[in-house]
Amino acid sequence: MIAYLIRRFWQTFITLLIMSLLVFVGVYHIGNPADILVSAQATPEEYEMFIRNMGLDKPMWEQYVTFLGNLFQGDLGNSFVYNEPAVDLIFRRLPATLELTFAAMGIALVFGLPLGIYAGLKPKSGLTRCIMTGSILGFSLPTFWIGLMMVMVFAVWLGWFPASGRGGLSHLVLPAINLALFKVSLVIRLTRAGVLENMLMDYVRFARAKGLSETRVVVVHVLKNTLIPLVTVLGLELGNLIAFAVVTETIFAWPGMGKLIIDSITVLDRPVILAYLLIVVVMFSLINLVVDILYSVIDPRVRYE
Amino acid sequence: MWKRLFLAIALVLCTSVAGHAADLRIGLSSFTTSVDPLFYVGGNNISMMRNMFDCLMNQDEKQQIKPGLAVSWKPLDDTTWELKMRTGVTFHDGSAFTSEDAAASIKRVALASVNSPSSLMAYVQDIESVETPDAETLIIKTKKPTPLLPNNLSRISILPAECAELTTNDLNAGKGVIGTGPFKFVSWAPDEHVTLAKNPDYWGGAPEWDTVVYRSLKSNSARVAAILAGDVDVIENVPSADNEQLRKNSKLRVISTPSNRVMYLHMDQDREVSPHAAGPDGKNPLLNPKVRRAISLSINRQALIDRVMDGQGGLAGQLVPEGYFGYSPDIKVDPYDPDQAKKLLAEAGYPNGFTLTSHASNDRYPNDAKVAQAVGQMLSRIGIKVSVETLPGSVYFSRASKLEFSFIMGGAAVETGEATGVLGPLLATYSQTTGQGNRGRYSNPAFDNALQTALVTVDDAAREKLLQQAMNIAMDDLGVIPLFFLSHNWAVRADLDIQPRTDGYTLAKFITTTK
Repeated sequence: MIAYLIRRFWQTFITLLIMSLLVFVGVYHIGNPADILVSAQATPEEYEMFIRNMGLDKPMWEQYVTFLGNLFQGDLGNSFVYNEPAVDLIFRRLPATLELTFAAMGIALVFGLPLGIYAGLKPKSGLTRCIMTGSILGFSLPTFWIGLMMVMVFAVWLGWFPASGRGGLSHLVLPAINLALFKVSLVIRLTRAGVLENMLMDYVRFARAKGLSETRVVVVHVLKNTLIPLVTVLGLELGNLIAFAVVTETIFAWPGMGKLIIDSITVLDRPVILAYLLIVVVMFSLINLVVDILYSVIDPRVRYE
Repeated sequence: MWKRLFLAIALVLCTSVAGHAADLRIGLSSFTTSVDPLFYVGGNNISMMRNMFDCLMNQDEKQQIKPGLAVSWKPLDDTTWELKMRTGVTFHDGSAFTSEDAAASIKRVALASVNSPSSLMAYVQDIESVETPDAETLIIKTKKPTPLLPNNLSRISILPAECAELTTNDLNAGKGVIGTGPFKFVSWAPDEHVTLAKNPDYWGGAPEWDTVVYRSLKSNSARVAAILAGDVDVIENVPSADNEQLRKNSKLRVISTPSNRVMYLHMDQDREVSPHAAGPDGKNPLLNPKVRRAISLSINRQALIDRVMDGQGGLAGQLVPEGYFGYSPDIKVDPYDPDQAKKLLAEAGYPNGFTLTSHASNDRYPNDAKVAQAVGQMLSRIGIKVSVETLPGSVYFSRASKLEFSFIMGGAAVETGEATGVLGPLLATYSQTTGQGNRGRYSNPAFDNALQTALVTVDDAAREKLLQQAMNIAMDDLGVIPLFFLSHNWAVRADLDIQPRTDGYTLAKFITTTK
């Protein structure tokens, strides 16, 4: 297990290196942040001063080496725009994003799992058809369109919820549902497929033959086997939600990390972009690790050497 | 159980939706990046600071310089100014304002500039020394005659002297955000909100609002939805596509004013061979003033305003709007005259036009990509073979600065309320100290001379004459082609009123209830 963890750590480390290099070169070639940030009224001297202060006058490889050097000392650099540590800016917004994503994930599971199980157990019933048609809508309608419609109907016309921003529970409802719609559909479909498949397995027949109640067969045996693919996908999806809930965050002006990265890209705030993506890589690696460990919990046959 | 849960939810909803009578919630389209008033020169920061801080001189709604913390000022000689301080003014922490505070704040600009993407140093760099003979007097000595000192000082916020050593990070952490302005700082979160409370002792009269919450609503649709849903009471920068709809809404009012921001075309006037403009001989046609005039005449400015800008904007024949210091009454807006334009093109030796690629940003100015496309179509009507390329600002500005383009569109605001703020950057001959935004590399010694003389002429009448002269020269050469002045607009709750400002600042003090 230890050897396994060390190997995983090295993989993550190499991913981080490659990714940082790619982003660094990419952002460097898009443009010079000084052309966007320095005021049009500033003199060329001031322009040069900014470039010098931010180290942008050095050749790219030197800037990258400096970045790596600071990185190993735990310093991801200061935002060009805010002059605050990039990591602080990101972590200050993390709670808002986590609140939104966990609410969305919660909604997805609370609705998706029971509906999916039902659809798997009663594949031919009328309700199942409704559920499956609904899930197609959830899949295929674009998030931004649904988001705008939700704002229009529930905030502007009906006035039930605020249209934007973060505050109490009422602010969370619309964006969380908006973000959850796709995930609900995903959970329904995965669960249904798993249940359908597992119900035909021999072990279900044996469990029934053993005289177990149908509830116990479904909840303890079938569900547990259905969970493995579900956990994999949801793990990745959770990472996706946290890192890239940009569309929903923009529509509902939710002050999360997704909006920060978009704003940073438009002004080429390289330290923030880099720090953000590095954090995302670490986060994905951690989530994957947790997913892998969960496998071995759910399925004792899985072992890591 | 269910009843109680329902009640709880209903309570949460009610308390968060309904605001109190004296609370004001404002949605902004661009947001301050700091609460250090001396950190960044951009309008998004400066406008927020005007709520909490005063300057020695304040700009009124038409950007005229008015007494702020200084009640009067006069030049003693060409390089010495005497300013008299307002008495009886207290900071938000209760301490009295004196000339010491003003001197310390001016000195602090250098400290706050250290890691700033664009500092306010340009406004104080001509200052040699600041002396405080007594609490009510400030003597400012300048390195050279600096007639714009009052305009420049109208950008410099005044903090208490004991805060002068604090860094930007200290202020961002909430320490020492103390001014004399109509509102006191309460809290902020970057790109999320700034919360302010009434300063009942404000020297200019207490404002109407107990609490003001500014929210960052950069997305156009989110901002419009927020005011439609009643989440906020005021929004700035109504997108032109939604203008009509909001105007018809009986619960809202839309208020607009012509602004100080001019949209213009920059043309390569430097290189014989330009990357994206070539006549049949391969040479750069934009060097020829007749070609530039033909381009200007081919543009239907009124149509740009009516069709593309949804009626919001003013015709521009020069770089500052009427009423601004340096506006030249001699200049007429070029009429839409495609026949004359074609004639001029033929006279210039291009009867069959030439090829041109025009470049513009697509996310920095209202409808910038659409304006560029419309201009492109107008040019093709007089026979120029135009293709239009629009790019995100993050790419566009860097490439434009590297002179990779031949024909570009830009926007410039008159931040200081007079013409040098645009003439200098856009049209002065490019050098280490001048012409920083002159991406067409226009250069005319007569223009430079008039402008440089104006910059050191303290006498207002003589300076205005020189600026008008400079404006006349540049517009006669068409160093840049002005298109139109953008409008600023706001949507407010129907029972509110806002005094519109030409600089577009959304200041809570100027928002009042009509009843």
